[in-house]
Amino acid sequence: MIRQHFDTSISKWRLVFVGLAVALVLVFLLSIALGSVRIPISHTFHFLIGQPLENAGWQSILINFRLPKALTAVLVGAALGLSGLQMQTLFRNPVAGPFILGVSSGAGLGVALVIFLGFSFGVYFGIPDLARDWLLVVSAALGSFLVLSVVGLAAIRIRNSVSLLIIGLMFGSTISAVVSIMQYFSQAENIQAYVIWSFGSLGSLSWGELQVLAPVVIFGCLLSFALSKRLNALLLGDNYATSLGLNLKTTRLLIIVNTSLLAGSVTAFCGPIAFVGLAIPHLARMLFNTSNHLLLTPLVILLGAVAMLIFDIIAQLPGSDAVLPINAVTSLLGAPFVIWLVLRRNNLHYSFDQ
Amino acid sequence: MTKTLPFLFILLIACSPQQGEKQSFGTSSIQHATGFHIETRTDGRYLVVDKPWPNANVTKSYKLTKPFTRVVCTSTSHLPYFEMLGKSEAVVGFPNLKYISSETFVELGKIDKITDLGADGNMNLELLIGLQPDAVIAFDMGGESATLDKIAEAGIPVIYNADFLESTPLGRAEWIKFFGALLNEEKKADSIFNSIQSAYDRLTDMTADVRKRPTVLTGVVYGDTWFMPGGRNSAALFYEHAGADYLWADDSTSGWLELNYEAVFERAQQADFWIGTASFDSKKALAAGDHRYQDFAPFRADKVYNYTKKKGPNGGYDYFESAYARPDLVLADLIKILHPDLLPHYQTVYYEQLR
Amino acid sequence: MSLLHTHDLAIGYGKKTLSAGLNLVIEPGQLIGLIGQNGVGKSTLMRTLCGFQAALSGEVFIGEKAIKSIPASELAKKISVVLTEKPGAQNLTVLELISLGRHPYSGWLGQLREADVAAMERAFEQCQIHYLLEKRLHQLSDGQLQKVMIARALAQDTDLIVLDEPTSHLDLRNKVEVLELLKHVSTTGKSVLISTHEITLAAKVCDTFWGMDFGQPIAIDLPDNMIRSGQVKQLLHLQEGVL
Repeated sequence: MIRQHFDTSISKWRLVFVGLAVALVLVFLLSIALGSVRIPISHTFHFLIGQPLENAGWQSILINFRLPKALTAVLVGAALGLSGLQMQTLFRNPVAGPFILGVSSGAGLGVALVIFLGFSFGVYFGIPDLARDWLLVVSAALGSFLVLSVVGLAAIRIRNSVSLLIIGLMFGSTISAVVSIMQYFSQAENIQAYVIWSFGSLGSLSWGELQVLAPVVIFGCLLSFALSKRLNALLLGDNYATSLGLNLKTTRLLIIVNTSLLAGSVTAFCGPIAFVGLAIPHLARMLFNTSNHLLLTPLVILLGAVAMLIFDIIAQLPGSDAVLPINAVTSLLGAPFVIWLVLRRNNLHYSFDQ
Repeated sequence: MTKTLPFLFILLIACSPQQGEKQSFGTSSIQHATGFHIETRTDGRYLVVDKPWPNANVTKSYKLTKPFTRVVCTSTSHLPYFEMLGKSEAVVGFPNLKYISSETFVELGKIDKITDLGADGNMNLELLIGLQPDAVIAFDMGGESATLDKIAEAGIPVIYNADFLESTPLGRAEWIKFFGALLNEEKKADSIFNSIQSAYDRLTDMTADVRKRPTVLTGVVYGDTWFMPGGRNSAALFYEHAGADYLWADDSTSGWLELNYEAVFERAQQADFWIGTASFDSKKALAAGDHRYQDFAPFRADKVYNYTKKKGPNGGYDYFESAYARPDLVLADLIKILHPDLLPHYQTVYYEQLR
Repeated sequence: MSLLHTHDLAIGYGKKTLSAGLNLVIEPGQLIGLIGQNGVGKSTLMRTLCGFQAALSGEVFIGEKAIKSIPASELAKKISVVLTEKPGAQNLTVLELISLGRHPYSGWLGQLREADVAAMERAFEQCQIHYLLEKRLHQLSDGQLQKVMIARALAQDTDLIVLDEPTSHLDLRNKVEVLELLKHVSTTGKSVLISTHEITLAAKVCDTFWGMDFGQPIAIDLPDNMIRSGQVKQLLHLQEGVL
């Protein structure tokens, strides 16, 4: 009888994933076809099948602006979604996310250190591009890791999820203050670089930077798959998880490393992007009514990518020269969602409150 | 005969200028600035600031009685006027001396002639009030400032300077007359402005009939947004007067446009010149900011210029301090860049080519 | 070979010793009822025996090995638990919950093999909960949830199952059903250790009582003996005539 159930399950989920994959491809193509500059669909099509366009300007726009931005959106949506998912399970809190727990601030600190120290020692422009990109990723991931570790350590002692959130928020504030002080002592150029970073943007990655971000995010996704079983065990609570043979310390460490890597690397390159990490896991859980991480991991990857692409299309205000900052779009759509979420807590059935 | 002499004498006295009139030096005709004017009322002369802050619906009138000899300034852009009017020593307090580019004022700061009042938003009010200045020359962005209210409560006049609201280069520079009125140097202010104005007009005339107007791009991208001055913005007017074809001259606003990077790329990728690149002062820095800057034609052709040539002793760019007072120099710089043959012997003051 | 035995075990927290000098034995196929007042240390004893908590001194042996030397993944194949806390994620399906019981055995991605499915089938069978297969945890009644949690522990296929007050939230009928289920489980060769306040009901199914009292060694005897001799009354500090 269980076998029967599994069989129907599998065919249902196969359908879901195929559907989502198709949706992803469609939205991806849409995001390349749409933008401020009106490029006729036929030209976009020719570009995608590898034919060079006569209009060099359009060629440049497609290959240097739209394609990297679309790929970045996919990576960002997946990475932030996964890190939010894992943080929510690890901290047993539905309102956990990279932003709220100060992880993005941690990444910001890492970025700030690289920028400001790099400038102070006059080496910022001397480092070859690739090295600088890796340096940014590593220091941002380290910054995130630092914050998550402290919050994670606190989580062991503090059962109350609200206290944990407060710690995360306070940490985030402290780090922002430290960064402000660094800015105060810096010259205009460094401040400008940092300020530009803090706006958050999907469009600023070069192909070289993508070649650094993509492998990191892909690795994080694979690690997330490998961690699904452990995450599922955590769903029952620490005691049950231990009784199932889980080494809590190792598990927590792995999850924190994975999350820092995912959230940190994305934040390093694209700046802090709000609400995606928080909202996408919930969307996945609610739309597909599952808490099983083996299913949630690919769901979040696909949904996150689709959502981010849609946000980007909206932010581009296709057809007009104007543009909205990506954070404005994610916040505008994300904030009401989170409010609704908090209000609906009692009906979520996975509040984790003990 | 005896009767006409006294009559002539009376006529003579009647026709000679009043003692009172002889005291008013300066011209009260403000031609370019729209933010202030000087008017004579029954009880004296007043300096009137028509719009003390953005969207203000009140005016501020200041009676001109005693000239100020000790003032506190709150913006580096106020300082050049003092210097030009020979009244540098009148500044006794300033927030954050390290932002000043002018050597004169830096020196005055070093010998403690100017008190450092701390960060702009949170000036040390105790120090300020302790100075007992004649006035504080302030600027405000919204009309409500607890700091300024406290200063007024302490009995120190707060004079609103709204020069940043002017939308033309000459309009902004004409605020030297504002300072002239407060410091009793109206005549000097007049003559200085007149020479600036005539220099500016001469330069504008030079480019009026130029055969080819090179296209100009300005600014940099922040995240995904490129902030571009509108077609009626002061910056746009400079380009027009310098004989350029500003690529967004067709816009009718005087503020700033927030544009999509790819839209900017499409319109400006083939621009002849790229003038004004925020804080980037070298091609390397620019390329590091965003790799796609390298795809712009002016980058490849080495036609990128920025106002980073002149730095103060503290490392700040003098452009942000003194350029507003000298639109003639800015315009000359731009003409030198765009039409070098028109000003063969001129050396740029603020702008340099990015290498 | 006993399933579990302790040697001079002392349990407690930090400086506080709750009980010491414990030499307990659990044989295969036993159903043991741990009784005593609240606060006497029942939970602590169970946690120590399961390896959740370190002993203050002495050893716990699973078979021949000291529990300290057994890695968690191996221990999970020996001991499973049913606790009073509710599992956090209430929107799990019953099937998903039971399959979590196979955690120590399933593939690295949680893949369930023949043996795993068979074990789950057996657990469903024993607990008679096939009809609950697709329900979510939050849709279950207290009694149903408890049976499901027991099924999960059964699916874990361990020699010993430890249950902390398994009948405390249940109505009388469910109490009886659960205790009878546990009795049945113990007849299949597994050992079951429960802590409980349901003396009369437990006495009917348990093979042995372990009675804990403050400052006393643990009393081990047949339930009926303990009740008749008045020891249970003493342990629970009950009035005359209650039992």
